[in-house]
Amino acid sequence: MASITLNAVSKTYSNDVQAVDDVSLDIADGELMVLVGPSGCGKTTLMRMISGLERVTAGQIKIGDRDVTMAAPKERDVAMVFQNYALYPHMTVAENIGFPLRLRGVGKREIATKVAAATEILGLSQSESRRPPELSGGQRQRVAMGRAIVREPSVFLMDEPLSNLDAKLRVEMRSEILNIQRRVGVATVYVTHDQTEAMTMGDRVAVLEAGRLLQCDVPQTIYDEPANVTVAAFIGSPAMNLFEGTLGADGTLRIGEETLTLEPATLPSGLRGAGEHPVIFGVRPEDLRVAGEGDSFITGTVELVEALGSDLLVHMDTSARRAQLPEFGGDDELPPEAEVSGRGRFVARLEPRAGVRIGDTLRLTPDPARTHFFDPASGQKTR
Amino acid sequence: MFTRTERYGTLFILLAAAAITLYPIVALISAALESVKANVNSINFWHSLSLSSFKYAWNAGDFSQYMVNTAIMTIGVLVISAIVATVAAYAIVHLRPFGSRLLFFVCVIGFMLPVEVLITPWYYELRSMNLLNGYWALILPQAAQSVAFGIFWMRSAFMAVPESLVEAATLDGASRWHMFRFVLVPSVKPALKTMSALVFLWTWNAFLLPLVVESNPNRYTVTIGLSTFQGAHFANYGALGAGAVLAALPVVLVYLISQRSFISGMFAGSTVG
Repeated sequence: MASITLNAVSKTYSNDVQAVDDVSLDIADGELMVLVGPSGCGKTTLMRMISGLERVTAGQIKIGDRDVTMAAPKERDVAMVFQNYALYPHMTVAENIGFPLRLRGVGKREIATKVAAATEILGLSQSESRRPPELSGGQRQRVAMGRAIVREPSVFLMDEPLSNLDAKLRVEMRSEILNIQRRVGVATVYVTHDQTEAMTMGDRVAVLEAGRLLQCDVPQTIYDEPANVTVAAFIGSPAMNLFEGTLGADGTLRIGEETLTLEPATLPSGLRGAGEHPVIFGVRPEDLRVAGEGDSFITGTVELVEALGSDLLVHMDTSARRAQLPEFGGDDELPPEAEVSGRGRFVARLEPRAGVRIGDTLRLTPDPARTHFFDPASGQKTR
Repeated sequence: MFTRTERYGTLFILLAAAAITLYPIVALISAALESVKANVNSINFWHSLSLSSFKYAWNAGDFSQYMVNTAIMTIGVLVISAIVATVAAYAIVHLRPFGSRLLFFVCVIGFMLPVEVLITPWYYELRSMNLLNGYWALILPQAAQSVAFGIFWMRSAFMAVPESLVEAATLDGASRWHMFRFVLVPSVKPALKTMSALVFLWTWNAFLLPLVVESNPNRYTVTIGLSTFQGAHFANYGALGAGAVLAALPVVLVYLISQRSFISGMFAGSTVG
């Protein structure tokens, strides 16, 4: 059992592609750190560098007190669960799980005992003599976990282990993985592109984009206080509403033809009383409500209503202009005419019986304590 | 859905093709099961069954010795080519030493050259090494060609093994030998079986090389022996048929035993089983 320390780790491929760019991270012993981000953000490459399957171009990796930057994979004492399970197809479940012990020269009796204990924990006792092609996806996943657990490694690495499972099985396996990880108590790096997995599983979440670490914190803080516009847009479903606007010294926020009047006290200190600023204004769907008397509001036409049972998701077309986020290609849910006109769509999560219908003119007001402002140039949060 | 005409038409075509394919085989077996004393030189399906032709071919025709010689030659070629080709293909794919790509292309050229082109240099090389009329003269040239083919075949098989399997074994602590022995070779077993079946087939059936390098009748292989036997018994279809069946039997048996992996290996392009 050990911690993992990454010091300014970078990876540049021979074609000058920078897959990982100066990432520093500390993962405590027993902690489950989730690396999340869009495809191609470098999360898998970073994890493979920890495992030793990818060489480090610059920086240092330590497991416990050992500098393993140049160590071979088998010298790092890490166990990995692969996205496609990577089970040996010609070996039975018992042989797959026991294989690492066999390589270490552990005696047959001891291997049998440890394998039996692992299959008991994982609910695979009845399947020990079966081969991977005869197993379901969930069973294969458990065999992969068993092969990792039985080694009693210092570090667990999991590369999108649930991505090949159906939605229902994913939910089941999520809690199983968490139980196993807590029982084993080993530092774990979990890679996923699914933000639900990231938010529900991680002790902390590290959001990556284009090889850079954008933010690392506990899930709730990542959600409530995104450090930049990329994190804000990626985390949360539906995504945060992000619009280009101009903020005046008096708290007047102009977004398109709409104007919101905000209390100066609720604005970030960097934006109070300092003239007009271009900003990216952000507000989560659940932090919008139907405006009452005296509320400052944004108005628009309801284009889509999604009744989820517990909530009503209302898509309101406004004159506000959505912030263009190159990483995610902008708002591709807008109809073509709205894109040309620059009209943006607010998404609000309302009560299920709000009585909103398509075509209604709606007035929405944000919770002033739950608004976010980002610098359009750097994308960083304005504090 | 097919019409009745289409169904019957298809059936007719398949039966005709089967008849054309099977007729020579049935005729051969029928001739082989005719008494050697009948001494007929025509195809005859209506006769009593007898194994005397087989006994005659086996003993008087020396097929027992020919089969032994051919077995030694074939097993020798098979063992050498299976081991060398598998190890070499593994090295080319996973170790990638300097010059491995060039070596691979040389191998491809090597097995693409027909035996007729190589037979003369082989003969002079074997003569200079004093290996003519011995088993090594039968084994070495064919092993060389089979190794070349085997490297080509097994390289594809090793490349089809998922990289994640190799990485998983690496993280599990596998050395290169462990990786080869416990992970890669079992994964490419179907391709190896197919390669072995093919090498067996064309080695057992080799004619030109044994004809050129063996002048000692005690070292004749089954193909040369059959050719000689045919010359002496051209009018006795029973004896000829028995000799031909004896010559073909091992190949048919090997195919029947390995047909499942043979077909899957051929059509899957030697992918992981």
